[in-house]
This record gives sequence, C-alpha cells and structure tokens, in this order.
Amino acid sequence: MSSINQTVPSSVSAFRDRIASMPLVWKLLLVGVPFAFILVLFLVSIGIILVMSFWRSQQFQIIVDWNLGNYLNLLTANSYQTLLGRSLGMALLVTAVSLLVAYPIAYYISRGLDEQQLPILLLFAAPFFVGTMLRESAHQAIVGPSGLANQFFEVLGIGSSSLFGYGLFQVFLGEVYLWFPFMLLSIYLSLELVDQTLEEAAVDAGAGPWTTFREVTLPLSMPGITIGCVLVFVSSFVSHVPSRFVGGPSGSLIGNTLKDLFGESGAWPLGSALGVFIILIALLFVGLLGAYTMRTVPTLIGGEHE
Amino acid sequence: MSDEATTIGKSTTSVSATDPEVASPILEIENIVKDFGDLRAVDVPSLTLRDGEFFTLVGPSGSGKSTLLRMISGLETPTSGHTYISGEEVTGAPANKRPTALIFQDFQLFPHKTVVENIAFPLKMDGVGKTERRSRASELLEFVDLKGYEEKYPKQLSGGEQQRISLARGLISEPDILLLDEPLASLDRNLREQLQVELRKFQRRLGITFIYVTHNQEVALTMSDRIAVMDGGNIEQLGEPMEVYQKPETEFVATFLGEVNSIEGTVESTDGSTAVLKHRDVRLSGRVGSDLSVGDSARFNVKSEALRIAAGDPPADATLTGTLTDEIFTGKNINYLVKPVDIDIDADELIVSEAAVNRHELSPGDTVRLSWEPSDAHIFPTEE
Repeated sequence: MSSINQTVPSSVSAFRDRIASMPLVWKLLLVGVPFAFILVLFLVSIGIILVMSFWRSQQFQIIVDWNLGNYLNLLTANSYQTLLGRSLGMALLVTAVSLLVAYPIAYYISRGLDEQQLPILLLFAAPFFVGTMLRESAHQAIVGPSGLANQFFEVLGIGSSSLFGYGLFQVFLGEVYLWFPFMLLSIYLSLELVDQTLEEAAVDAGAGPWTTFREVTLPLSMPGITIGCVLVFVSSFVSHVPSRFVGGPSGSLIGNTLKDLFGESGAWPLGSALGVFIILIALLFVGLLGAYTMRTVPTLIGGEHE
Repeated sequence: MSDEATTIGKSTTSVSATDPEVASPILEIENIVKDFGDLRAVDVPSLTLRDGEFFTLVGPSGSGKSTLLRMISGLETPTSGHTYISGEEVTGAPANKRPTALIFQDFQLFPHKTVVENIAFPLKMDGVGKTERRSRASELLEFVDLKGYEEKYPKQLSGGEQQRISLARGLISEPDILLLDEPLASLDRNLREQLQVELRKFQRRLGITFIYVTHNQEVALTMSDRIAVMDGGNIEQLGEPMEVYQKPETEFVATFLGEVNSIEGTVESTDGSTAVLKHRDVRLSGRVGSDLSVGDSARFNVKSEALRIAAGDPPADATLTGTLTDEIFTGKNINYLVKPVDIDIDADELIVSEAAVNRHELSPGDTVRLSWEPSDAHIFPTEE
C-alpha cells in the first residue's frame, strides 16, 4: 500500500552494507587475486606472443633477432592469406547460421514452453559434458565422410553426396555443431530477461506480432545476440578440431596452421605473428558488434535515476 | 501541470452535460466469463459505461478486476461473452485493433527508446510520419509538464515522471477508453496522492472515459464517478461512490470499504427495512442489507466513523457499553479502541473514529457508551 514497494528490506540493505564494508583483505582475496591471476596470465601470454612475433626461428631454434620478416611473410604469402580469408568466411558463416537457427529455437523455448524449459536446455547443453574431440568423433562417425549416413546412402544406391565428403562443408557442419549451444543459451537468457509485459504494451499501442518483435523483443535481446555471436565467432575462427577430423586436404583452416606452427614445424615466431593477426581480427569483430549493440540498446550504458 | 494545452484528446469535441450523446454507452459488456482452468476468474453478466465517465473497478487481489480490464483491452480473451465499444462489437479483436489504451502498473516504457519515441510509438504503429509524430509527442509532453525530456531514456526518470510519460503514450492515439491498471500502486504515498488529483484533472479536461483498476478503496472513492466493487470474479455492487459506501448491498461491500466493526447475533425483529439483532442481552439495530427473517444468524456491521462516543441518552437498541483501552491519534482523526462489555467479537476491540478537534477527555479504563444511527449500520445474514 505505502512506499514499501520501492524500498529494499532493511535486513537486505544491512547485509549489503556489511559486504561493502568488509575488510580489504577479503575483498582482495575475493576479487583481486583471481583478477590478478587472469590478468597476469593473459597479459604475459599476449606479451610473449607480441615479442616473439618479431623474432625468428631456424630449425626448431628460436633466435632473438628483431625483424619484421614474419609479418612480411604473412602479408605476402598466398597460402596464409587464403587460409585467413577462408577461416574468416567460415567463422562469419558459422556465426550467421548459428544465429538464424538458434534464435527461433531460443524464442520458442523461452515463450512457448513452461516446465519443459530446463530439460530441453539441458539437452542442448549436454554436448558440453564431453570434450570437443569426442564430439567431433561422433560427428565423423555419423554424418562424416565415411559415417553411417553416407554408408546408408550407398546401400540405398543413391551414392554418397560430394557434400558429405571430406571438405569445407563437413568442417562447417562440425563448427556449427560445436559452437551452436553458446549461441542458443546466450539468446535464451537474454530473451528471458525481456519483460514480457513490454511486448503487451507494444501490442496495446497498436503493434502487430511481427512489429512487436522488431520494435521490442529483438532490440532488447541484442545483448544475448552479441554475446552469442562473439563466443561463436571467436571459437570457430581459431578452431582446428573439425577440420582435422573431417576437413581433408581442402578443408584446413588457419587454426590448423597455427597449431602446426607451434607444434610440428616449431616455428613459434611465425606462429606468434599469426596469433597477433588473429587477435586483431577478433578484436575488430567484437568492437564492431559491440558498437552496433550500444547503438541499438543505448540504455546499456549510462546511470540510473536516483 | 499546464492548463492551456486543451487541443489534446477529445476536449475540443467533448460533449456538454445537456448533450444527449452523454447517455450513449461507450462500453457494453454482456455475459463476460473468463475461466483459468477450473477457476472462474471473471463472471460479469452486464456492464455499461457512459462516455466520459471515470469508472473504477475496486476489489482485493484475485477479485478479477485486472482480468476484466485486460479483457476490455483485448490482451486477454474471454471464455465467453460479448464486448462492444461505441456500439461496435470488438469481442474477437486483439488489443492492437481496439480504440483503447492501457496504462500498466509498472508503466512499461520501452527502455531502449527515448521519451519522445516512447510517446510517439502508438502513432508510429498507425503509420503517422516522423515529423508529425515528433511534434504531437512534444505537444503531449508539454501537456504532462515534462517539456525538454524528449531525448531522455526512461531509466533516467523518476517514478512519477515515468508515470506521466506512460500516460502521454496512452493518450497520444486519442483512445475512446483509457484503461489504468493500478498505475499509482508502485509510487510512494505523497506522490500517489498528488498524481491521483492530476489524473482526475486530466480526465475532466480530456473527456475520455477512464476505467481505473485499484485495490485501494481511497483512490476508488475519491476519483470516480461510479465504482464497481468486485469479489471472486463478480461485481458485488455498482454505483456512485457515496451510495456504495453508505448503502452496501452485500456484506462483502459493507466490510471491504472503510474500517468496519462486526458483531454477530440473531435477528430478533425486522420490519423489512430495519432490523434488531440480539447478541446475548445486547440489542443492535441497523438497516437490513439483504433479506432477513426473525431467528436468522446475522452480522451487524458499522464503520468506525459511524460509531460515536455517546453524550446524552441515545435509544437503547443503538447503544453499546465498553471500556476504553487505547486512543490513537491519526492526524485528522482520533481512533478510540473500546472493549465492549457482554459482547464477543473477532477483533479485540471496536474502533471508534472521531474528528480530532472534538477530542473527548478520556483515559484508558474509562467506561464509555457508544451509539450510532441505525441507518449507518448494516445487517447481513451470515453465510451458512
């Protein structure tokens, strides 16, 4: 009846005050140490990559000899450019297809289901419980080039489709399969956070179902779309597992090259330069998407009224 | 708020009191029923609203008042029945095809749109061009006294400001009926009282029919031309606030509105309009709320302000004796708590509310006599 609705119960605010005023030691333990741990590892590894990218290697030996050779090599050698372009295209396509497939599913789970929401989501998330290697083996065994599906087609006499052979299409299937759950869960969570009475308000104001979606639901779920896109894009851009399992000679990606440079070829400095490239491209993608999201949902930034 | 912006809404075409148009119904409801599973949430055989009236649905939570409002808006579909707005059947029409606008409890402004985009949203849906949208939204913004707020976002506004923006968004499409679903419930008391008065002024000036849903009887009584008290999905009583308050037709209405003292007993005598209830040896007389016969168990209900501490010699069947236990100063009034002698009541004490300016010199423990006008007390049979 009175002003109770908008005030925080005193016990809750007292608890908040106690948390806010806890000793510095605890704050440091709680936030400072993990943050420092992550920051140091991240910065140090980036730093190592950056420094090493200006060195060179010779017969598995890293030689400290400052030069731009690795970058020149990357910028001039056709093979790297082809691979980078192919991986970028693959990552964009995987992201776009995941988004287009995941959004309606997430929307249906969020708006069309009640008690079944959790079990269905768990089913979609279940693949996370096994590693990528195992999941790709399964992919290979079922729809892979010599998998069950192809064998079945052959028995039927249709013959195996060339799409199902080793190559980029198989890699694409694998990438979508691996990263799709990230997209689905991000979008689902942000749809759950959209206040559904806002949609009612739009309908009451004269909007049809589609306009309501375009004017209200879609922009308000942009944060989930953005997070899903970033996770899927970055993951698939550097991914190397599907192309190793089902890519064949024509289906290899920049992630495989990166792995080779740091592995069998032992060319760490060149691999580092490639790493720097990849990081820059990923940052550019995240930056562009973030800027777009901020424009669509400007209230993500800016303070609350007091 | 500004008084000069009279071009908004229907005020320019509003009808005067002598115009026969006033009597034409803006809303007619026939046999509207809404079931949620086994629960009958709303069951209203008939409801007719006059154009331009301030109509309030009041009732406790779960009484079906919000569901009824949502069915009028088109956001909820009735299980059966018919709805007409301005004589046209809208029963199957969705919310976006009805000449109604709903003001939500938590305002439901679009957080990703600016104030002006929020207000102009219904016009955008109508296909009105951007320039006209903006100018009409600005005009309305001035009307609700928030000029200069065009480019702000809802979360930069206070609750009261958000409420006015949502009102502006509701009014911009010039609806035939504005539906308000407890639009002040989440605001603090002072602001609520202030906006209450403003809402009433807006309504008068615009001449638009308002249907207001609230659980707050004070709001219902002060603002409305007519109120309907709802309980259990039914309209218990419909009428002008004072009539409903003073002449309750059901016991629910008698006890829901105001602060009520209830005493159970047996009907000793009745002449059809007044009755005398006997509780042990005490006789209580009051008006007959609904059919009573001698020997029925019944309940006597009297509002705290209808009881007074007696001076002189009131009639014996309109008197109670009790002991004063406490005195509570509430500002305008003093509530005297009186423990009655020879009477068992559910509450510990009877509450007697009198104007503070006429304070009685009493102290706890004093014996007092209470009296009332029999026409202010209401006797209803107790449900078996």
